[in-house]
Amino acid sequence: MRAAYAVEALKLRRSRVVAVATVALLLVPALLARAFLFAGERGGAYPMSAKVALLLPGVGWAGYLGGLIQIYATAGVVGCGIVVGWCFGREYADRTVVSLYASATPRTSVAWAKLMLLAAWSVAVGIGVAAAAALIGLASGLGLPDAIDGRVLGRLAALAVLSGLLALPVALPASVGRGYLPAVGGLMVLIVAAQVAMVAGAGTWWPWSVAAVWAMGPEAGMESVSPAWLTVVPLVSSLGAAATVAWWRRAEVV
Amino acid sequence: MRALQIQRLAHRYDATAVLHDVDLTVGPGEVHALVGFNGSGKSTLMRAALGMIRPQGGFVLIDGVEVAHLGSAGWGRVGHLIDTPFVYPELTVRENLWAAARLHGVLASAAADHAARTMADLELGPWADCRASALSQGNRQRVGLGSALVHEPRLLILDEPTNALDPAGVLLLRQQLLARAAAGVAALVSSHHLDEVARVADRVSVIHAGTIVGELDPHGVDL
Repeated sequence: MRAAYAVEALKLRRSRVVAVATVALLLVPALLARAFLFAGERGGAYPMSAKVALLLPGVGWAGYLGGLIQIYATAGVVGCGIVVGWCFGREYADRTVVSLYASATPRTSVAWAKLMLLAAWSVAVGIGVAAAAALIGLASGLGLPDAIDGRVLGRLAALAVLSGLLALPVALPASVGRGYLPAVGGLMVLIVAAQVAMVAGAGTWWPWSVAAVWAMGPEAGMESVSPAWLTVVPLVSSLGAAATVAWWRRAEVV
Repeated sequence: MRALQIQRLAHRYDATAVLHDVDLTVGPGEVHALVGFNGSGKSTLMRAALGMIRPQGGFVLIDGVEVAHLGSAGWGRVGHLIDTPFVYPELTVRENLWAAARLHGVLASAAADHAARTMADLELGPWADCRASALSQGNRQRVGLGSALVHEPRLLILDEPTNALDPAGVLLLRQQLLARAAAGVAALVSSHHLDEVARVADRVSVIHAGTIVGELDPHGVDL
């Protein structure tokens, strides 16, 4: 098991996909949210300013973080899902999976190592997203955040971690479909289903929506969600991980 | 005890029988070549021997243990190159061989030495710290061979290992096979070039339409 962790950690460290996704997740949503706030605060007759003013839940830190949470709710799952899909799909697309058979390290250990390291990466990115958001807010002249903003930053970090966990089940279509494209398809299904759940009023319990509804909070016009409901996220994440490992145990080379 | 024993092996893909009644053995220190045309069943036979597919009939024993029950220690004595070389493009040659060594059960403290020795054996030193994505196809194949050899297995299963190798690479592979066989390693090697494997093989089996149709004497005058 230790060998699987060591090798998978090396592959993740050397991967350009992981490096680009990490930087993109840390910076792009926060910079977009700050740009939207600029546009919203500019006011006037600009169509974009008017639209942004409707989307953001306030001004200053509240508007910036509220916008960022809305953006990250989707961008986080997409970004993490791409990394998960790459991590599993590449073994099939590059045919390296064949050499993972008939090895002293069982394939189930390799699959678990991938999942655990991706979960750890999600936690690190989640903490990093909140830190980067705070730094970008400070550097762009929003002043010091107050205690309420601090709590929203905490919710942003939690959402970012949960988004990574929600992306882990993408490993299953990547493995069953043996490549990147099924992973992208699975990811799209998750994103669309989350949007449908929001429209259908199921956002407070649908696993791929509940974290976003909780993080946005009533100040963004969302229904109140008990934090206990968030346990559904690690639950579906664990189920997806278990199904993926079961597939890696049983699947034959084709 | 045979390093590899295959008996009455049978397998189908849908309605097509790709293996039937295949018997084959490889003993310690023996290089057993498997020759046949494309689609004759060589790769399927090797995949079944390595537990990559579950055959519908017959059985495969490695060191006397059925492959379905072979544990980590047993698989740690097996090296293989099937299909595509085990090469991650983002890793260097050294890192790829280190990764293969670790996954094949070599201790962390010894993996770097194993990788260095394998690079020397396969003359990969000049590319040691190059990313594999920058390698030629022939050198990727050498890294793939290195990944099969790095943990010093006692049974080698190589499917068309000379693919993409230049003449110098083919010579290196022959030397490696002969040296390892002399040290007691059992090897099953497939090819569709009879002359190529006849130079190193102790036995040559001919496979056609999913069954072994005969054996050739590798030292016979015709070869």
